Amino acid sequence: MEVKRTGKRFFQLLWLYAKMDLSWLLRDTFFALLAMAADVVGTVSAISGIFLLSWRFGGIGGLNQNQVLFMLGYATVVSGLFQLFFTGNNTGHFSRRIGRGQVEHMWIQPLSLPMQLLTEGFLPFTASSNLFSGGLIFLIAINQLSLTITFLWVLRLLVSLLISLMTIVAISYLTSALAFYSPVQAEEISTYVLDSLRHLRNFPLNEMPKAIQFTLLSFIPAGLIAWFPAMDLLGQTTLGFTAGFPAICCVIFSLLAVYFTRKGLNYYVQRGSNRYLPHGHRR
Amino acid sequence: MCKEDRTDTSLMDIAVDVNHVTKTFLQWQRDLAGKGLLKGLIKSEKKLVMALDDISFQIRRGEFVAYAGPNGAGKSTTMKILAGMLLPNQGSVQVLGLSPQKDRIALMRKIGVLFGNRTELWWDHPVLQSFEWKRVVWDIPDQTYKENLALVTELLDLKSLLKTYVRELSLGQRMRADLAMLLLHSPECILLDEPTLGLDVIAKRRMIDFLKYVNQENSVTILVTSHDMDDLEEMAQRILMISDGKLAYDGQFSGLHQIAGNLTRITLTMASEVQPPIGFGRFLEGSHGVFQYEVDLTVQPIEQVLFRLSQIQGIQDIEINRAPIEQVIAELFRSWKKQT
Amino acid sequence: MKVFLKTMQMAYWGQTNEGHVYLIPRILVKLLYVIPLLFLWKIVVAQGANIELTLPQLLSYTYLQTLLTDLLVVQTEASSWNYEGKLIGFFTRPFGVLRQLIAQTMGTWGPMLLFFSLPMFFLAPVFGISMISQSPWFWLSLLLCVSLGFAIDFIFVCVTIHLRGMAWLGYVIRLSVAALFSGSVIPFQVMPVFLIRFFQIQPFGSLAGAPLSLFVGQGDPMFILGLQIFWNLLLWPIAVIWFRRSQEKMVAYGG
Repeated sequence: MEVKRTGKRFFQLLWLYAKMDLSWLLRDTFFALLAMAADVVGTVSAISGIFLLSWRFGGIGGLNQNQVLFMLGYATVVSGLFQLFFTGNNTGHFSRRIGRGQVEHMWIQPLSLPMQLLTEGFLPFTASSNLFSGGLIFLIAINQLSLTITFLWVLRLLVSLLISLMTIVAISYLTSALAFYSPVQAEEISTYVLDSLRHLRNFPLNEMPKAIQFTLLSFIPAGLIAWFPAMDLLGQTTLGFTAGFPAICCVIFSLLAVYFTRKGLNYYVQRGSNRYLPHGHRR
Repeated sequence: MCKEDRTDTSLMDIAVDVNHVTKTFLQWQRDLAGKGLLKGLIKSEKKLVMALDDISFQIRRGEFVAYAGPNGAGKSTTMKILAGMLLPNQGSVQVLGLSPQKDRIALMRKIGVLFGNRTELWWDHPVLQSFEWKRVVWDIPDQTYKENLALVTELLDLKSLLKTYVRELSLGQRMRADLAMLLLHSPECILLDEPTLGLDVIAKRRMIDFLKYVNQENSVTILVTSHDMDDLEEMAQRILMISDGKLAYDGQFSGLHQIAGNLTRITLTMASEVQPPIGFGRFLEGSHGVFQYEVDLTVQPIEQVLFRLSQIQGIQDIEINRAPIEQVIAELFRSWKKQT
Repeated sequence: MKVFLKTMQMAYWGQTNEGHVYLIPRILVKLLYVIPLLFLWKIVVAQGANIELTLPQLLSYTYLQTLLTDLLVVQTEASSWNYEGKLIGFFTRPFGVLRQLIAQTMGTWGPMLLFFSLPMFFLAPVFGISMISQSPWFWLSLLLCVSLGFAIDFIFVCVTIHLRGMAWLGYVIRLSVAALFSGSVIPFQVMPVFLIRFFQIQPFGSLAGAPLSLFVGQGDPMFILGLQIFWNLLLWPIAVIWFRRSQEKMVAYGG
C-alpha cells in the first residue's frame, strides 16, 4: 500500500515538474531554445574529438569508425538521460546544493530527500535535446553497422542505459559527499568528476594497458558507462568480464553513495552551514 | 485558514518544547602572518563556540512569541533546530508533539518555516506557479488551497502580483509572496527568522498586521526573530531573550522595562531657548527650545517628577513617554556583555 | 602591483582556506584524465597512423596541456559572478574591474600549479616524457595565449550579460567550443587534413594549440605568433569596449 502511494506520489511530482518545465519553455521560448541548442553544441563537441580521430585513422584501437560512432552515440544517450532527469535544480550536482547551503530548503518540504532528488531535476522539454541528438547519432551508427535489432536486444539496451545512468548518478553523489566537509572547495566537485567521466567514457579501451582497463572498469567507471555496454551490445569482447559486471559495479557504487551521503548529512545536521548562496536554487 | 484542518495535535497545549538544549560549533581560525600562517598550512586552528547553552522554554499553542538577542546570540541556531535542520548536541526538542529530527516530513506538513534572506519561490516562474507547486508537494486539499489562496491574496494584496515572475518582484513584494506561500497549507505553527529584513515601513506594517490576524483568528502559534524591537513589541505578547547562548529573559515586554529600570523620556517645549534646570534625570538632547531628558521612575517616582516640573517657569508643553524598547534592550545587552 | 598581488593572494587563500587536502580529488581527476589519453596516443600511433606529430611529441603535448590547463584556456568566474550580483562589488573598489578579474583568476591558479603542475613537471622524465621546449618562442606564445584567453572570456561575459545572465548557457557553449577548437585535447595536426588549417586560424586556435605546438616543435613560430598577436589586437579592444558598454546592465542585474 505504502509502495503504491509512494509510486503514485512519484509520478505526481514528475508530472508537476514536467508542467513547470513546459510553462517555462512556452514563456521564455527564445532562451529555452538557445539552451537546447547550446546543449546540442556541447554534446557534439564532446564527442567530436574522438570521432574526428577515428575518421582520420579509420578507427581506433580495433574499433572501426561506425563502432566508435555507436559507442559515442550510446554515451550521448546516457548523457541525455542524465540531463533529462537530473539537470533541474542541481539534483545531479548535489555538491552544489551542499556547498551553497541550499540543503536546508530540502528540510522544510514534507517529502523524503530521495523523493525530492529523484523528481526535482526532471526537465523533459528543455533538457531533452541531448537525448534526441544522442539518439540520432546512435540510430545512424546502428544503420551503418546494419545491426539486427530484436526485442531482446532492445531490452538489453534499455537495461544497459539504466545501469549506465545509475552509475553516473551514484558517482556524482559519492563525490558530492565531500562537500559536506569542505563546502567551498568541494562545491563543484561533482562537476569536475562528471566532466572527467564525460571525456574518459569516450575512450575505446580495447588496446589500452590492463591497468588502465581495470581502473576505468572499476574505481573510475568511465568504461562502464559507454565502452563496456557498447561492446556488449555489439557482441564484441568485454575483456572477459561477464555482462552483469556493470550492474554489480552500479550496485556497489550506489551503496557507497548512499552510505557516504547519509554520513555527510549526519555531519551536516551536527555542524550546520553558515554559507548560503541562492545561486541555482529554483532557478 | 480552516480550523477543521487541525489534526490530533490540536488537543495538545504545548506547541514548542525545548528541553535543556545545548549546541556547539567549531569555527575555523586563520592567522595571517608568521608562525601562525605556516602552522595553519599543516593543521587548521579551530575554536569551539557555544551557540546554545542549556536552554529550555515552552510555547503554548496560539502564543505569539518574539525571540530576540544580539548578533551571534543563537537565534537562528534555535530556529534551525526547531525546523530539524540542525541536531542539538544535548537536550530534546518537540514541535507540535513531533521530533523535528525523527518526524521531519510529518512535522513539515503542520508547520511553516521562513528565513528572511531566503526565498522558497521559484525565481523564473510566476508567483502563482510557485503556489501551485506548493499545493502539489504539500498535498494540500483543493478546497483548503482555494480558501487560503483567496485569503492571503486579499490580506497581502497579491492580486496584481500573482502572474508576475518572482525575479521581477521587489524585496517587499517577494516577502509578501513568501509569507502567502508559507500559509497555504494552514500551518499550526510558524517559525520566522528575520522576516522583516530589508522591508520598508509599509511592507513591514502589512506583514505585522497579517501575522497578528493569523495568530488571533486561527490560533496559529508564531515564533519570530527580529532585530526590530518595536515590531516585535507590537506583534508579540511574550519575548524570549537570548544572550551568548543562554536564555536571559522570558516574559512580557512590560517586564523588560522594569528590569532596565523603568526608563522614561520627558520632552519639554520651552518658551525660550535656554535649557531649564530640572535637577533630575539625564539630559539627552535639545535645540530650538525643545529639550529631552531621561528619567528612571524607580529612582524618581512620577509624583516627584510632576511636582518638580510644575516649579519650572516657561514650560509650554510636556510630553512623557516610555523609553523606546530598543534602548531598553540595548542597555540590557550592554549589561550582559559586561557580566560575561 | 601590490594591489594586484594582494588580490591574487586572497584568491589563492579562498581556494585553500579549508585545507590543502581538498585539492586531492581535483588532482586525482586530472591524473585519471591524462593517463588514458597518453595511452590513447600510443594506440593511435601503433596503428601506423600517418601524422605530423611523433609519439614523443604527442605525449609531451598532452602532458603539458594537463599541467597548464588553466592558463591555456582561461576561464574567469565573471559570468557566474555577474549572475550572482557579485560583480557589482568590483565597481566599489579603487582598482580596475578587469584587472581585479585577472588578479582573482590568476590567484586561483596557484594551488593546482603548485601542488599538481610543479611536481608533475619534475616527474615527467620518469614517465619518459620530455618537458624541454623545442622552441624559444614557447614562453611568448604562452603569454599571448593567456592574454587572448582573458579577452575571449570577457567577451563571453558580455554575451552572458546580454543573455540576461544565463551564465550556465555561456559556460556550456564556451566549454564545449573551447575544448575542441582550442586544440587543448586533440592537437590540430591529428584532425582530418581538410580541417587543420581552419582550426589553426580561428581565434580559439591561438589559445592552447598555439603554445603547445611550439613547445613540441611543430608549426611555423612566426605564423603562430603572428596569428596570436593579430587576435589579441583585434579582440582586446572589443572586449574592453563591450565590457564598458555592458556596465550598466551588469550593475543593474542581481538586485
